[in-house]
Amino acid sequence: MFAIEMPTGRTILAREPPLHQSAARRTRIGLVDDNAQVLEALVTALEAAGHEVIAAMTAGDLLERLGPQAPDIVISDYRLGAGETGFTAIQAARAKFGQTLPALIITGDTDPELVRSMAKRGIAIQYKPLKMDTLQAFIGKATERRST
Amino acid sequence: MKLRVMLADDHAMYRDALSLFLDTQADIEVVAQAADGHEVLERVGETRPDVICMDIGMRGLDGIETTRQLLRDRPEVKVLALSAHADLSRVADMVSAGALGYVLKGSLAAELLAAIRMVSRNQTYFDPALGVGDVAELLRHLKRTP
Repeated sequence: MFAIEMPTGRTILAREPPLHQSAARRTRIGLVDDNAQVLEALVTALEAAGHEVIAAMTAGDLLERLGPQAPDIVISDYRLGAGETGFTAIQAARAKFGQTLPALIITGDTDPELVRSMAKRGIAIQYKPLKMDTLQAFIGKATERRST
Repeated sequence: MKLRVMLADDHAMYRDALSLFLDTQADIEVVAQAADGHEVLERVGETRPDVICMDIGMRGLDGIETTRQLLRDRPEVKVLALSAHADLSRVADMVSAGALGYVLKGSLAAELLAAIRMVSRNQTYFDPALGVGDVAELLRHLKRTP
């Protein structure tokens, strides 16, 4: 048994040990999605995989919740509400914690212009449908690069 | 043997996120996703899920009608309702359609795994936030509510 601390402050007991926990080191992830249900499901998934997740629905909310401690990586859905995109959230986090902060955008949009624009800024893109193995591999690679 | 689970929800990213979570469990395998009730009915034969996590409010054929039609032909499949709403009359509609469990989308981490495992064993499971422990209690509660 192990305990997981949810962003809401409640502690739950996981019923099965997470499959990926031993394969990846505990990574602090800043996660942004404007859909509360999707956010909850992603937090649940990433925490079950052994990561620490700081979840937010907007860029401003993310910075506030991260506080002074930088995340190892920021992961954001591309289309956020209120005129924001995932790029807005990543830029805000990089402005505070440094331009080398690894970042990943999740999107179903395959527009080549978007891909070029994100690549130019050093932002990786993960297309839907998401797979835990590929997401874990990306998180591992991006955070390793940063720590070396 | 792993529990074979189908996820039915009209929000693709939500299905993906849920699938990521279930992928972390050694005893569960997501064998299919469906965006609406018609896709559930089409894919159930080929993918043979043990449990279907069914959103109630899907566009087109909703979760209640899908459950009713599904269980008419395939009574061996276990249906677990997923919903953002704690409205007990909706819970009763799903139960009367044949669902064995009901989990609120806001309490996934705490409830979903237990619910999937319980309904796979043909046992009922109601999210504790609903305030009802079993079908009899649900019916008593509805009788008291005009």
